[in-house]
Amino acid sequence: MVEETTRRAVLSAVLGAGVGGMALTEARSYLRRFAPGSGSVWGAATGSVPDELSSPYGPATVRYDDYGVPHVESDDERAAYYAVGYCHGADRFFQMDLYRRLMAGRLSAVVGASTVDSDTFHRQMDFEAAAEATWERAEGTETGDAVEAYVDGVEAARVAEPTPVEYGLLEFDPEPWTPTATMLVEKQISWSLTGSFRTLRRALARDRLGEGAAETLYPRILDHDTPIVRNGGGASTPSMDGPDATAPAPGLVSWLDAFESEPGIGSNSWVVSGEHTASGDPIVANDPHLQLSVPPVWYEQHVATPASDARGVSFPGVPFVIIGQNAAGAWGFTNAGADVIDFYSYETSDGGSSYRYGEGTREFESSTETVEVAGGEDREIEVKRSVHGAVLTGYPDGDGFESADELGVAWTGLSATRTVEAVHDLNRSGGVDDAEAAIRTFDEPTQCFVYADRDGNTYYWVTGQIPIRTTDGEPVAGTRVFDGSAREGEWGPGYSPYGESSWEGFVPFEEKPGVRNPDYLATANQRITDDPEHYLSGGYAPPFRGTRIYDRLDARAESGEPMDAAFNRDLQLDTVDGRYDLFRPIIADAVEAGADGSGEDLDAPTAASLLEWDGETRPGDAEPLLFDQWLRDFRERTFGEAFEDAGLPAGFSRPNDWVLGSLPPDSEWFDGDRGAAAADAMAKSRARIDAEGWERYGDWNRVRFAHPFDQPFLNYEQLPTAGSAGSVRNFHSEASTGSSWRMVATFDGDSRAVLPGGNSGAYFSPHYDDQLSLWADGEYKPMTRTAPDGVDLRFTGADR
Amino acid sequence: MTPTFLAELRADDRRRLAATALAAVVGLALALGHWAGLLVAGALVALPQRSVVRGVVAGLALGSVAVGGFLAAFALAGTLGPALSMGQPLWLALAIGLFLPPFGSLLRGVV
Repeated sequence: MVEETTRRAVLSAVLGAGVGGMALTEARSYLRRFAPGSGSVWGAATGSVPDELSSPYGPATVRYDDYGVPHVESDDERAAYYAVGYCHGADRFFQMDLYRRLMAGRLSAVVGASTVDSDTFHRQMDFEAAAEATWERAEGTETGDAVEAYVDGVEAARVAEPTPVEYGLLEFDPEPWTPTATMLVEKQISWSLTGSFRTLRRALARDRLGEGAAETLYPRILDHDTPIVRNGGGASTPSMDGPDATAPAPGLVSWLDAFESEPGIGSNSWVVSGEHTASGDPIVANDPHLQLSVPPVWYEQHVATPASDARGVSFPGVPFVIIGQNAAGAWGFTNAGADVIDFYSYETSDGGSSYRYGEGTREFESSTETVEVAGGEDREIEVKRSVHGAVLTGYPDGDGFESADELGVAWTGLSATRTVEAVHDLNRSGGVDDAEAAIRTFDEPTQCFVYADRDGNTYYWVTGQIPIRTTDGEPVAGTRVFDGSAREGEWGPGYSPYGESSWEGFVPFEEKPGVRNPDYLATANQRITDDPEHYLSGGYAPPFRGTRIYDRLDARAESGEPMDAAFNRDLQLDTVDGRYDLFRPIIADAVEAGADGSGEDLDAPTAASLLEWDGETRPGDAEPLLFDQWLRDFRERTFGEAFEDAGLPAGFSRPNDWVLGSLPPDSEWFDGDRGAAAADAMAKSRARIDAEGWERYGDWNRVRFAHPFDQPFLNYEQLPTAGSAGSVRNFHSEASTGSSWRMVATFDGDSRAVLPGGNSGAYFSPHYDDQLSLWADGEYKPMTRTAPDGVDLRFTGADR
Repeated sequence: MTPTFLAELRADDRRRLAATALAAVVGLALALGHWAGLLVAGALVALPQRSVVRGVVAGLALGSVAVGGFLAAFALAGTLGPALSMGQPLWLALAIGLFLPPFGSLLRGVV
């Protein structure tokens, strides 16, 4: 009896302790998320998906093709966009929600303290208020109605579809989608393409390195002869037009680095007229280089209504096709890199609560906001606005910046913009005239727009609002930090941050660079034109891609062979690294210098073998591996120590490869001996390759697309791939940027495209990553506007 | 100290088997709603058994059924492949499914 009583007591204690441990500790969270049957992460795998739903906007059908691309059809445009919204919500809701939280500065509420800095920056910029102003502008218009139908569709999916696995993992609930959220996504895109802190970096470089060095290392205009519009005039090389009003604090510049686009954001596009194609119809090619994320940044769709029949890609959260093709034309975008952001310092008073503005004094609009932090202490931050727009300052609990830690910011995207209307009109356009009318209202971001229509027209124009800054009534370039109190660098009176702008005082559409019916024209983020009518940009991409594209187009045109679709796809996949020609003489110097590590017993390619290389970045070759690694080391060998000695912050942006490769051999940056510097770098990179055990380029150059949670099962498989930062087939292995969509659009029904990953962001979907191998191997899939058989989702009409 | 109805239940094979089957169904239904259902399920199927060891074996068997059903649900939904590729989360689920019911079945040694 005693033994039984003891046993019962022990088992009771074990049970009690066990259940208590499970219910009262961290273990409960794991059980709640992963328990078989009830775990919150499993609903996405086993939940049922409806195939018939009612729509308040009327009937519509959705047919998914073999790659999960929805083909939406309806006789009513709003019914169609309700269905599109449903598809976005079903396939990409978590991604959309994350964009929204990022831009609204509410990430920390779900992911914890690691994103407090990000939330602080995004609250300071107050993108949400800009999105609200943009929605207020659109509400009640035809586009606004379509957006509202889309939002309702997203909401229907949020309720009807299984909750994405990420919500279960993070244990938070999806919030309702709203029209403002859609506008926030548009702001996110615009910021990622035009939100640059280049002006601040150059101001800091001028302060620390001196005016001459800064002009050499960070030139606004690069000395090459392949602008987008090849008018053969030769570029003038204007520098900044006056000293900076202040040198920004290094800590502020470093802090802001995290909120700017990754290196490698850019794109290729070209348009070829029917004069040069086999079919006699024009061809449009476009491959935007953006973050290679999981899921992809783009969502492919086909929407057919009586008003439009467009297929292409949109950003999840935005209803309309942004890059693609409709029944009349095909179009693409690349970043124009125009300077649409300026920075202002102020003379402050009253303990920093007021600032001088001209002859008067103004109060900063100021408020205290709470950044909610999951699993941590909430943070209070101060958000300020000036007459110019946002005010950026270092993180309040930060490192006590000593100077210029507070700057006013004017950015075109802070105003109400009409881009969503422009894209909607583009979807419905019936030819080049309609397309031009549509992009006149494409306020942000500044882009190079290429277009061709079925009638054989070709077209190129720069889009987006570009400010004309004036100081004392005279136009000035936006290349310096302005004295906001002295009213330097004022934008036109038509700019209203967080309100609706008239855009008077901005560059008129006709005065932006553009060409009607070009024979062929290529854009790769290089200088747009030699002689712009207005100041356009504080800096362009090096010309490696642009030159290579034009060289191949020129050669093909001269050969008389047609530029058919296959040629254009081949050009999109061109792997010749344009940097090789520039750096080959320097590699030869290194070989001559001798001390390049060739004599070491290393299992790595040698510098001498690089001199025999053809410059193609093939994953199976060893030479591109050494070239890529050496270039990193050579850049660092040249600038790293000198920048550190000058007091520039760690990781300060290095001069681009065109600048590095163009420095004279006896430049002081090489300590007077370029060959020795190159040889040092070569020895270092060979040793690293040996230590890492890399044998070929593909061992290093792999797709490493990571999901925001960076969970192994959510990330894409790592695959070796071709291409580099200097090739048309663009890929930045470390930054994970590159071709986020490859499209070659024709008018003979053979348009083709591919996404880096899959069209669905739902982990359990067969379309989560079903295009990844195609993308990595340089293959394409059809982009037809013929819907497949069988209806997957049927929306029936319902009274509203 | 054991309640009379439990003692009688354990002594009658037909009633014991019927009670076990009913406990399994009820327990698994509870497990679909909350993780604690797996504990309760283990306890329910263990209580009619004639010994503590048999009770734990019953709990383990129920855990196996729960895990088998869990994987079958993936197979029916066409998501077994990606589920198996998840690694840690899936192993965690299987471990939970196999551990909680026998742990709950320890109640057999108390009542």
